[in-house]
Amino acid sequence: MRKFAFIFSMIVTVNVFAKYKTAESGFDLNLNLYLPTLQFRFQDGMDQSRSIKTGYSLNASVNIDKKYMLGIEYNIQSEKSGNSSLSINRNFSEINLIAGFNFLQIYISEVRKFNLWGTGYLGQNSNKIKTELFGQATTDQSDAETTYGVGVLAQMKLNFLLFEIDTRMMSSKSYEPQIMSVTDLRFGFQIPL
Amino acid sequence: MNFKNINTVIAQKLRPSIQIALVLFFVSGINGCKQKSELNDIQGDVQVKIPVSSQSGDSAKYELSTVTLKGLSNLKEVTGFFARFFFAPGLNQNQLVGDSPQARFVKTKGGIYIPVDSISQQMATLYYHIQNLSEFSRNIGIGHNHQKPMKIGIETRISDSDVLDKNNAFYDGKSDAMLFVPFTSNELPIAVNSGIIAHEYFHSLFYKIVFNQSENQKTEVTTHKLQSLYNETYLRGINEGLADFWGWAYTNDVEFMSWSLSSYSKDRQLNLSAQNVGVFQRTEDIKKEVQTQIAAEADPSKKLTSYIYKIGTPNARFLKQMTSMMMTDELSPLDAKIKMAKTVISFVQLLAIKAKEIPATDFLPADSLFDFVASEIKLSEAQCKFILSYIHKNELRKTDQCEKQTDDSYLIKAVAEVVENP
Repeated sequence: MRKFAFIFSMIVTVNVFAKYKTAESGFDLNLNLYLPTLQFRFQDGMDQSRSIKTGYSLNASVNIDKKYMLGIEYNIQSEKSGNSSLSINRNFSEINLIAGFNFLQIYISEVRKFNLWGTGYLGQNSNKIKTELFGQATTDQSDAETTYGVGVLAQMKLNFLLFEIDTRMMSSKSYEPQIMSVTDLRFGFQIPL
Repeated sequence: MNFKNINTVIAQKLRPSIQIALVLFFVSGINGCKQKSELNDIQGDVQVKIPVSSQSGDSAKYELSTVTLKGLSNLKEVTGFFARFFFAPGLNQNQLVGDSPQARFVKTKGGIYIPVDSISQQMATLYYHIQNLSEFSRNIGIGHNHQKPMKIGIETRISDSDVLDKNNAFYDGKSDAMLFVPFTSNELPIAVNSGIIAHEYFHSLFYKIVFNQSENQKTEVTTHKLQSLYNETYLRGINEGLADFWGWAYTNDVEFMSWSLSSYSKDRQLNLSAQNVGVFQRTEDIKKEVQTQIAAEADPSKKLTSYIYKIGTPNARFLKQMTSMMMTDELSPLDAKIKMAKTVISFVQLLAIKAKEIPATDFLPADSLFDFVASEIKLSEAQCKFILSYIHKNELRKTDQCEKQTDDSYLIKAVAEVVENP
């Protein structure tokens, strides 16, 4: 709940900042809001395979002068193994700040544009492990670990609608493996500020 | 579509900094395929949180506890001085082959590693118990048998057995490995059941002491089928019984089986009721059962698999009762268990010699454990009478008696010569 409040306050802050900057210096600012989306991570799993595992992601960002992007994302993933006598539930959560720069823009038509962004990520992640033994649950919280990442975001814009494929290599001590590929498929919309 | 000067735009936009970023992206991607886990570098003594059994009054219970895994060389594979794991292994020329399972843990602020999936939890739990059982073995003077890490197969696939393909564990002497097959029931997984782990661990001791020394016995099977199958059945039975005793000695839980295999628990629980004192499968009983199966079945050895527990369980109950009586009389619970465990190992070593040297026409006596315990332990009057209730089942020893010694201990006095073999 605190994390959602944090995201909300970040969006409000960016909005206020954007309005201020627009008035001051005439920056072209756009707020990108996305629907909760699927996230695909190429990682080790409880099935002893290194394969694509699915999680969820919540994103918001601001485009500045169509060249730069500042954003935030909240990622979650959960998995459960065991049986009714002894089970383990892992809940992973991660919050990242995103910085991006546009290095390719293609005008397909007045309302259709294709953009490629280079992106960098910095954030924190942690795991909450709930072990249930004969109905008695014990929860352990892992130490928070720093997340780094670099990637490419392909964005298709149709009027105010956005469709994005965001793929990156992310790194954290708590990841298995420590560097993994993460891909989001996002659908959202852009609001001029 | 307006693709005018796209190439030019790309060339202009791809500034050196962007190029560097893209190169970093792809290099890190390539590295990602090879990238190891931080757990690969975790070595030595490591604290983990796992389910272990503990004594609560007269009953046992399982709870999550923080324990120390010692001598780890790699937490990612939970490999170290005491154990080495194989995932879904196969056998090739009696060698276990397969990949090491990859464990996953998260570290808490207190430095404790928490397994994040069942396989990782099973690996940590197995390592911990093998470590304890190895130390217990060393305490009773048989540490030399386990200088190498125990090979452990998890999620082992057995295709040619209805009994062993799921919800089971066994020790495979040929590959010297403890094998756990997939657990599909909703009870406590066998791979975290400390009593069953101790049970299987004992089988490894028994195999190394007895079966490694009596291989040539099997050549006599065709010529003396009854004797051969009898001796094989007795050894299998006593192996199971002593292993159950080991499971109890390690956990103090008379129903350690019930957590994972509740359907077997009633027959194999180790509390000895008053009506079962002195009740066991005598040499004549085993012979009769073996003869019946030889007459009825193409594969009598397989058919006798369920019968071997009828041989083993009374021996296990006898040992458990004797150990409990020793606790009451003179020794601490741990000392009593160590003393009885030493006696059991001495008995197995004697059994190995007997099994190796016994003529193909002879039968191993089924009551030999009772006599051996009586000879090894300084008995109180109650203990002596308890053992006598077993010895009196032998027709030739119905008149044996307990005789008080000058040091107030008791000895069983044989008043008739023991002739076990017809």
